[in-house]
Amino acid sequence: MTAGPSVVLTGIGSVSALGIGGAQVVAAGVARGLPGVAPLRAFPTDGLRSRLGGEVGDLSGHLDPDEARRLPRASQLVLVAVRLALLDAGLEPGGVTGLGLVVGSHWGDLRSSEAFARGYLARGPLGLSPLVFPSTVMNAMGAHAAIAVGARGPMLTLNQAGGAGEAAVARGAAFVATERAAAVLAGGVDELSPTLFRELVRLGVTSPALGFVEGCRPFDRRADGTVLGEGATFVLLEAEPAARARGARIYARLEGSSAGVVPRPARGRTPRRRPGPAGPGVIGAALARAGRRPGDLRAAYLTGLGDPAVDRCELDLLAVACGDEPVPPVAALTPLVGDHAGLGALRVAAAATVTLGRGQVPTLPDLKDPVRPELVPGRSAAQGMSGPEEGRTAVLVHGLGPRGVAVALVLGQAPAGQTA
Amino acid sequence: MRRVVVTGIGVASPYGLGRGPFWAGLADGQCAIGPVTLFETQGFRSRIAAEVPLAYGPRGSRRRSRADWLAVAAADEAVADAGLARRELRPAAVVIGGIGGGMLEAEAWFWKRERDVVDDPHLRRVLGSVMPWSHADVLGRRYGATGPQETVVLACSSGGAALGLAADLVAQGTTSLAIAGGVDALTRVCFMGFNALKLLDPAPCRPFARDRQGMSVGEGAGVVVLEDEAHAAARGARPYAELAGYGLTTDAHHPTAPHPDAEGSVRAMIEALERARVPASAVGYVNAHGTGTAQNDRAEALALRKVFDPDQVLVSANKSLVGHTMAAAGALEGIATVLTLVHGLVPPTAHLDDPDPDIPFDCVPGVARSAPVELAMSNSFGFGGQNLALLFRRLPGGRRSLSVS
Repeated sequence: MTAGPSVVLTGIGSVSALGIGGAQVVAAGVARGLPGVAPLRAFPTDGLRSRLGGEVGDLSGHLDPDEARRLPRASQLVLVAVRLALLDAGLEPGGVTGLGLVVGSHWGDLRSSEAFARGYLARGPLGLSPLVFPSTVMNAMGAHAAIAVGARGPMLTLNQAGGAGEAAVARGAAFVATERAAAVLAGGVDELSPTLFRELVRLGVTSPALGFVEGCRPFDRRADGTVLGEGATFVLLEAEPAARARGARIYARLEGSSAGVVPRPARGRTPRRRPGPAGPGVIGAALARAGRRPGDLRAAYLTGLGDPAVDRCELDLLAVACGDEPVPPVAALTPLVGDHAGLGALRVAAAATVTLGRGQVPTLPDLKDPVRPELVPGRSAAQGMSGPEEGRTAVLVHGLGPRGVAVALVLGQAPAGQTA
Repeated sequence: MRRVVVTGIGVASPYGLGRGPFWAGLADGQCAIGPVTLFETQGFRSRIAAEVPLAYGPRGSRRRSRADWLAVAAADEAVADAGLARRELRPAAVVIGGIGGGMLEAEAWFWKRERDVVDDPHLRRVLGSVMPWSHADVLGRRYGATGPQETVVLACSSGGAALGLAADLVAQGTTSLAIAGGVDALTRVCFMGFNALKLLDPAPCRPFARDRQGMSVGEGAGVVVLEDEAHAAARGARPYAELAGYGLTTDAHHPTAPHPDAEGSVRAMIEALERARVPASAVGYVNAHGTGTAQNDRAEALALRKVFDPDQVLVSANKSLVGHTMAAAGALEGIATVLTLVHGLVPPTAHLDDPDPDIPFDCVPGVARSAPVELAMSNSFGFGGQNLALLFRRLPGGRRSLSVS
C-alpha cells in the first residue's frame, strides 16, 4: 500500500444469490458451496440460449418504504450492502466522520437509462421523467447510499469491465492510507436487467456458448461461458490504529495491491496470446508491495469467469507470478453467484472470513476436468474445504476482465485474537 | 510523495480539434454554443448545445463511438505534445472520466428498435463501446499502456477527478506517468434530461449573471499527460505546470441539488489548498464550475466567499463559451486553468452584461484579463453532491506558450 497507516477490513455487507447479510452470511454461503444460480425468475428468457442467473431476492425487508418506492433497484442494492457493512463493523450510519465510498460497476444502472428513453419514445418530451434522469448517471447509485449513511468523504464510481470491485477496494484503501478518508466503504454492484441479459447472451458472453450444458465451470475443460449474476458487496476499510482504538473486530489487513493491463484474453476456446514472462506482472507487483512471496499464499481467489480464454489467462498469470514456488490452491466464487461487479468485494470478504479467519479454502463446485490439473486440484464439493495450513498467512484476490484489465490484492491475517 | 507536473495537453472542443484553437477561442471570448445538429430537438425548451465540429459522426465511426473518437483525438495530441514515444508509454496509467460512454450510438440503436421494431445490425456494432470504460480501453490499447486503467464516473466532476486520481498514482510512485482526462459526446439522454429538469437556458448560458436561466450542454475531450517531475526532467521534457493538490468531497445531501451552505465544496477547496500546503490568499484565479443555473452559481459563490477574499481572486466560467461538456468539463477547465498560468491571461465569462449583485467576485466579463497568476484552482461539482477542486502551480522554468519546447 501507499505510505501511511496500514489499512484493515472491519466490516462486510453483501447482497447476492448467496443471501443478504454480513460476514456470517458470506462465510456460511461460501462454506456451503451450493450455487445460487438458477433459472431466472425476474424476467422471461424465452428464445434465449441462456436462462441461468444469480438473482437477488426481495430487498424490501432491508429498506424503509420510502427507499423501496423512490430508489432504483441498483441504488437499493448498494444501500442495503453498505448499511450491512457498517452494521457488521459495529458502526451506525451517519456515525463515521470522513467516511468515503467507492463503488465499482461494470454496467451501472442501465435500467434507469432505458426507462428514461422509453418515456420519451412513448410520449415525447412530456414523457421524460425528471426523477428518473439523475439515476441514468452511474454515480447516482453511490450518491443515494452516501446520503443515507452520511458518507461525506471522497466518493467515487469506477466503471470497469472486470475487476471493478477489486479496483474499488484498492482505491478505497489508498484513500485511507493517504488520509483522504478516515474510513471507506468499498465494493461493487451490478443488476440484471432484461435488455442487458439479452444482449450479453447474443454477444456470446454467457454459457452455453460452445454447446455444453449451461453452467459456470471455471478452469474446467467444459467451461463455455459465464453465468451472469447481480448484487452488491461492500467492505469497510479503516486505518488500523483507528480500528484498534475503537476495539473493532479486524477481519484482515490489506497488505498490497496492484493494477494493470495484461495481454487481452480472447474470448473462445483457446487464448490467442498468453502473458509473457517479462516483469513481475500485476500479481507479482501486489505481492512485492505486500512484502510477501508466493509461498506465503494460503489461497488465490481468482475471477474464474467460466470463459475458457479468460480463465486460462488468469491461471497463466498466477503461474508466472509464482515462478518456482508452489502455486496456492485456487478458489472462484462466480459459479456460486454469477458474474457481477459485486463479486470482487465478495472475494475479498470470503478471503478474509473463510480463508484467513477459518483457515479454509472453498472448493470449485463443478470441477471435473481441470484445464491445468497441477494448478487446480480436482476436489469435489462433497470433499468439502481444504483445511488450515501452517505458515501461509496471506491470500491473493485477483480480478481480471475480458479486456485484460487486472487488479490484484494481497490480504494478510489479522493479528492474533482479532480474527472473525 | 513525488511532485506531479503536466507535460502534455490535448483537446477536442467545440472550437475544433487541438489545444491551440481551444485556448484561442477562450482567450477571445468566442461563444461556441449553437443549434444542435446531432439529433432532433423538436419540442424542447432549449435547442442549443456546444458540439465539436467533428468530421466523423456516429454513422462513419463503425465500431468506435463518437466519444471514443473525441478521446483519441485529444489523447493523441497530448501524447505528441509530451514528446513521448510509444515504448515510453508502456508503463503509463490511463485514467479517464466519462459519463455517457457510447450512449449516442446506443440510443440510435435502441430508438430504432423500439420505434421501428428493427434491430439494425450496423447500429448494433457499437454496443461493445456503450459503457464509459470503453474510452480508457481504447486509449490503453492504442498506446500499449500496461499501467493501471481506470474509468471514473463522478457526474460533472468526472474529468477533473480523473486528473486528481491519476496524479495520486504518479505521486505515490505507482507509475511515472499517466494519461488522464475526461470525455463525453452529446447524448439524447443528457440533453433531454436537463431539459426535463428545466435546467437548460434557451439562449447560451450566462454564469453569474443576474438573469441567468440555466446551462448549455456541450461535448468534448480534454486529456493531459501527468508525469513525475523527476521523470520529466530526466527525459528533457518541459512541463506546463504542477498539479499541486486536489480535494474530493461529497455533500451527502441531495441527489441533484448542491448543499445550501456549500459546505462540501468548501471542504474540497480547503483540502486542495492543504494538500498543496498553500494559503487561500496565494491563489490568484479560480476557474469556476459556473454552470449558469441559479442554484449552482449561488452555492459556488457562497463557497468561494468562505474560502477566498473577493478582492484577491479573479473568477471566470468557461461554460459560458463552450457549454457544459459533462465528463470532459473538469478536464477541459483544468487545462484552461493550466493555460491561464502559462499565458498570464484569464479567459473571460461571456454574456455577463448584468452580474448578479449577490456574487461579489470579479468574474472577468466579456474580455480576457492579463494577470500573472502563480496558483490557480479549477472547481467541478456534480450530481450526487460530488465536489472536486484541482490546484495548479506555475513553474518558474515551465513552458510559456503552447508550442513544443
